Amino acid sequence: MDFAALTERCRTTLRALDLPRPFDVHAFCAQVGRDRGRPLSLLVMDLPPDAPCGLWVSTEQRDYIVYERATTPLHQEHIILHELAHVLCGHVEGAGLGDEHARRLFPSLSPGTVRRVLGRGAYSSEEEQEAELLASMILQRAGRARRSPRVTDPDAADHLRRLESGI
Amino acid sequence: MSTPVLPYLVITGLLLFGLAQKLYGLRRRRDDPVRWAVCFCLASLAMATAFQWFTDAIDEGSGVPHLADALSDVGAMCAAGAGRVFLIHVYYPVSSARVRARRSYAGLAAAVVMVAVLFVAVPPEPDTGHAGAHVDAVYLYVYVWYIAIALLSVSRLGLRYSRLADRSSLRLGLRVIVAGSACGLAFLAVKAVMLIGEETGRPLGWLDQSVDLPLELSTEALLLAGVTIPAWGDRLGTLVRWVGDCRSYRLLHPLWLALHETNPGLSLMPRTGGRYWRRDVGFLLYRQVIEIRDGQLALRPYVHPGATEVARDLGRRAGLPDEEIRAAVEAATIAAGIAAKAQGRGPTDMPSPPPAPPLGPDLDAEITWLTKVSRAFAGSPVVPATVASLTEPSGDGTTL
Repeated sequence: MDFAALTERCRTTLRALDLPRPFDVHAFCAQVGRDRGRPLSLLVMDLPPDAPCGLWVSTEQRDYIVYERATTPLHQEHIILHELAHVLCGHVEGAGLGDEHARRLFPSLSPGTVRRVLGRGAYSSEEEQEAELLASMILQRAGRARRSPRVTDPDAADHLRRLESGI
Repeated sequence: MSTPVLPYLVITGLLLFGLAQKLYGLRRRRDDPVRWAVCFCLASLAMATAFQWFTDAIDEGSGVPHLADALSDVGAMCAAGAGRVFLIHVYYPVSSARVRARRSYAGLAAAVVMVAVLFVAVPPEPDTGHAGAHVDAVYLYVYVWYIAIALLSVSRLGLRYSRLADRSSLRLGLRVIVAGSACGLAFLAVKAVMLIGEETGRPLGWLDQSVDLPLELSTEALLLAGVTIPAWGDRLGTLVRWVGDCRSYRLLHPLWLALHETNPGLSLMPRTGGRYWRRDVGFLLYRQVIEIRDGQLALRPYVHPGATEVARDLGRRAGLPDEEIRAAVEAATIAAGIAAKAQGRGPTDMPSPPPAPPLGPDLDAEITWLTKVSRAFAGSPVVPATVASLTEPSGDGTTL
C-alpha cells in the first residue's frame, strides 16, 4: 500500500474516534478499554536500550501498554498512542519481544497467558507505519482540542456562539 | 480652524472596507439579524465620518449652520443603536430578541426625531468662535446620553466574553472593542464637559481639536478593528504560525538528518525533497520532533556513559552560559553516539542518561528546546571536542 492510501485509511479511522476534550492520553486509553470491554493499563518502565520503546501486551483478560520512562512527556504520549493505534487498528503481527526481555520485564506474567506482543521499533512493516501515522494524526488533532473550553455555563456558551457568528 | 480631512478619509475608507467584508459574509447568512446589525453599525459609522469631509460644502449649500455635524452625530447614534440591537441578539433567545430589537430600533428612531426637533427648535449658533465645534447645540445632550448607554453595554459584554472566548482572535477582537468603547466614553465625557462649559459661559473650544478629535478617531478605528479582527485574525495567526513552523523545520533539519542517516528505519514520512513548505509543515515538524526523540533512544546503547560529564566540563571551561551548556551536552551525547555507531563501537550495557527534559510538556516546548540542541549540534565547539575526547586513545591503548 502506498503512503497516500495509508494516510487516507488513517484519516477514516481518526474520523470515527471520539477524542476526550480536553485531550488526556490516560483518559483516552481508559475510554478505549471500556469500549472494547477489556481493561487497558498503562505501565511506565525503564526498558532495556535494545528493546522497543513501547509495547502492547495483550493477555486473555486485559491489555497493557508499556512505555519508556527515560524520554520526554510528549514522546511518551506519542509512544502510548502508537501502541493504542495498534489496538484500534486491530493489528495482530509486528515486532515481538524476545523471551529474555519478556522474562526481565514481566517476571510475573506467564508466557502462556500472553496472546500477542507488539513493540514500537522501526517503521518497516505496514502495520507499524499505520500505527505511527495514526498516533501522529491523533496527537495533531488532540493539539487543537487540548485547551479546555473556558465556558462551562451553557447560556454563556450560547451567547458566545452568537457573538462570534455576528462579528 | 478647519476640520482635518485626511484622518476622516482614512477612517471612512477602512470602515467601508470592513463593511464590504461583512456584506460579503452575509451572502450565506442573509437572514442573520446579528450580522445585519453589525453591517448597519459599520455603515452608520462610515456615514458619520464621511459627513465630516463635506462640513463646509453641506453647511454652505444648505444654508444651515452645523447641519453636517448634526448628520454626522445622527450617524454615530445609528451606529450605537445598531450596537444595542447586536447585544440584544446575543443576550436573548431568538423569539424574544426580535421583539426587543424592534423596540430598540423604535427607540433609536425616537432619539433621532428628538435630535432633529431640538436641532430645529434650538439651532446651534452659526459661529461659536471655534470652527468645527457645535457644542452649544442642545440636541447633544440626547446624543451623549444615547451613545454612552450603548458603549457602556458594549464594554460590559466585551470584557465578560473576552475572558471566556477560546479563539485567540475573538478574544483580541473583543478586547479591542472594549478599548474602543473606553475611548468613546472618554470622547463623550469631554463632549459633556464642553457642553457644560458653553452653558456656564466658560467655552472650552480648545478641547475640540486637541482632545475630542483624537478620541473620536481612535474610537472609530478601534471599534472597526475589533469587529473585523475575528475575521482576519485567524488567517494572520495561521500565516504567522506557518512562517514559524518553516523556520523551526529548517533549524531542526541538521539534527534530524544526522539521526536519520544513522538509523533510516526510524523515518516515517516520504522525503520532501526540499519542498517541505508545500506540505503540512506543522505535521512534518511534529514528525521531525518524534523522530529525533526516537533516534536519541535508539542511540542510547552507543553513547559512552561518560559523554555527558565530558561535554559539561568542556562547556564550563569554554565559559558558556548554563542554558547553552545544557543544549551542548545533549547535542554532544547524540554526536558521540552517532560517531560510536559509525565506528562500530558498542552497544554498551550502560545506557546514557535520558535526554534533558524540555521546558514544558507540549510540542512548542519540545521545538524550542530541540532547536537549541540542533544549533549546538551544528555549531557548538563542545560537540566535536567531546567526540574527539571520547575517541582519543587513552594511555592503555583503549578509547575513553
